[in-house]
Formats: sequence, C-alpha cells, structure tokens
Amino acid sequence: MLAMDMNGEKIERAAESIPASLRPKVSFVVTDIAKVELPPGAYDVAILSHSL
Amino acid sequence: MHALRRIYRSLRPEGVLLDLHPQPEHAGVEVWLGGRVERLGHVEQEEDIRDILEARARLDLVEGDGWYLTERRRFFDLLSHFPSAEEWLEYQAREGYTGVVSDELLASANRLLAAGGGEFVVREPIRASLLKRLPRPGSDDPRPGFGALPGK
Repeated sequence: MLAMDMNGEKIERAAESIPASLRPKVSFVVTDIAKVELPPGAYDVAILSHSL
Repeated sequence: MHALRRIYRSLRPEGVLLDLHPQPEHAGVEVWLGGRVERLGHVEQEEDIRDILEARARLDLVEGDGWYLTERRRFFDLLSHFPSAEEWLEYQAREGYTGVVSDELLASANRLLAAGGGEFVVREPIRASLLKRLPRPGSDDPRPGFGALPGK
C-alpha cells in the first residue's frame, strides 16, 4: 500500500499514527500524484480524498 | 487530468478508483450544546467551491472519454468537532485551509460556548464515488483492459 500527500506534516502524522501491525505493509511518500512515477497495472484500488 | 491519467495507468485492468471530495457548497457551522444544535451559518469558501467545480469537471471529462465508469455514488456529511471556535481557527491555519466565518458567527459561537461543555461543529457535505477502470479501445497493450493512455 502506498500513501502519498504533498504535505510533509500530514504524511508524518499519518506514519506516526498507523497501527504497528500495518507498518510493514504501507509506504508513505511526500509527493504530487501528478509527478510521481507509479508502476503500471500495480494497484487494485486508488483512493482520492480531497485530492483532485 | 494528469493525476487521473497516472492513476488510470497504475490501476490493474479491473481496478477501481474511490474519489471523495466535498460538494460545491459552503460547509455549515453549528454549536452543539446540551443536546441542542444551533445552526449559526456557514464557512465562506468561494475559492474551495471553484476548485471543487473544476475538479469535478475534470473527472466528468475522463469519464465521458471512457476511462472510468461511476458504479456507485453516496452522499454524506463529514462532521468535524472542536471544543471551541478558536481551536477550529487554529486548525484552519495549521492545515492551510482558506475558509472563513464572519465575526458575528464567531461571536455567537463564543457566547454559546462560554459556559463550557459545548462543541463547535463544522458540517461538510461530501460526495463519494466508486469508479470502475474501463478498458481503452484501440489498446496497444496485449493484456486485456490495459490499454494505451489517452493522449499518449
């Protein structure tokens, strides 16, 4: 699972608050969805929250 | 548009996109106190509403071009609770949000909350859409449903 936001503070807070059991499964990245390189055909679900 | 193209490309052929964004309306401001709800007014957020309408137009465009199909849509209110109007203002500043409320509304909220035990509540209408990724006609990718990017 990949979590991204342009706001570094929000990513930091999310990374700190995630349950320990999920930490190995989630990567946090400070970036812009319009610029990040994502592997093609790699994800089942994309969630945009207040992001478009 | 660019973000929606990247997401389209990163999704598996049967993948889905869940989009949540506010309705293009002003969020309501309430004070909850002793089992009562006082509706005080709304947050002025013309810039946000303009951005939401532009984002929605982009989403409609890619759906109209056949990239995605809306399978389900739900509407709900997102309630944010704060112990005081001051704490909401601090939150707004910290998050970089631009919405403002009138001095009169703030004064009313402060008056109601002065006795303690109440809450300053912002009610934001949200639209949630589940969009299915569609196969692109004329794909140059042999995998089913995993086609060339529009405009590529």
